Amino acid sequence: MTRSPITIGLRDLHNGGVVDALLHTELSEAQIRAAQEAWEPVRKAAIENLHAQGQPLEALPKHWGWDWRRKINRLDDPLLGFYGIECEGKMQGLLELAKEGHLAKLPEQKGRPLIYVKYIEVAAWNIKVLAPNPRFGGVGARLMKAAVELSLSEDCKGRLGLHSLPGANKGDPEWFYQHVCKMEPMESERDGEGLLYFELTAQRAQEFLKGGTQ
Amino acid sequence: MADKRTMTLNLTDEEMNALDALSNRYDMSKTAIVRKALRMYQMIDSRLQRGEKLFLEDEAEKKKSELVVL
Repeated sequence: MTRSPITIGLRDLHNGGVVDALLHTELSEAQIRAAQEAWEPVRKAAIENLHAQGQPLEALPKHWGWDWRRKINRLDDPLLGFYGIECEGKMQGLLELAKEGHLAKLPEQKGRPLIYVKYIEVAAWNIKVLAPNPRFGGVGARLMKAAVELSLSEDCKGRLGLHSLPGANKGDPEWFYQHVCKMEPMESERDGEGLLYFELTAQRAQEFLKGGTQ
Repeated sequence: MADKRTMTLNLTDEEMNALDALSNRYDMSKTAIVRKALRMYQMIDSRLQRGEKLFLEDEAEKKKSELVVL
C-alpha cells in the first residue's frame, strides 16, 4: 500500500515566503530516476564551475558522483527507508535510512538502537555553495527531522547516527549536523574512509524538533 | 508514517520474559521489539527465498555455521 505524502512548508529563498511541498515517506523507481536525472547535470556543472574558479579539488563537495539509481533495487527492503521532498514538481532532497543494525555509541546512550542516516542529499540548486541564488531553504533540516520522527515512531527515542561528508565551515556538512541538527561529533568513531561520526541523543532530538529549519 | 493496526498476542511466560528482557535491554516498548523482530524475519526470509544462506560467525573461535530458518 502506498503511503500518502505529507504536506510541509519550505522557505522560498527568492521571495522570503513559505511554499507548500510534499514529504514522501516512501519512493518509487520513477521518482528516484527523475531526481537523479534532474540533479546530476546541475550538480556536476556547479562543482566544475567551483573548480574552474580556483577551488582546489579537496575543497569541492564530495558527493559529485552519487547516483541514487543504484538504490532502486533496495526500495522495498524492509530494513531501509527512503524519503524525499518534492516542490514545484521536482525532488528537492532525498534521504536513505537504515532502520536496523546500528546501536548508539555516545556513553549516555551506548548500545541503544538508533536510526542510521545512510545518505542525504539536497538538490544542487538549493545549496548556497553550489548555487549563488539558492531556490528553497530548509530542505536538509526537514529531511533530518523526518529521520527523527521515524526514530520516535520506531521507539528509538529520536536517536540518530551518521557519518558526515567532510567540511566544517559554516554551511558545510559537519557544521550542519553539529549546529543545525544538534548532533555530537565522535572523533573515535570515524569510518574506514575517515568520515566523522555524528550522533543525536534523545534529549537533543527534542531540541532539534522544536527548532526551525534554518 | 504508516497506519498501524492492533492485534492481541498470546505468549507463554517464557516468551513474555524474553520479550521483557529485550525491551529492558534496548529501552524499547514490547511492540517495538516485536516489530523489529518481524522486520528482520521478513528480510531473512526474503533473502533465503532468493537462494541466499544465513551464517553465524565467531571471529575469535574462527567458526562459521549456517543458520537454518523455517
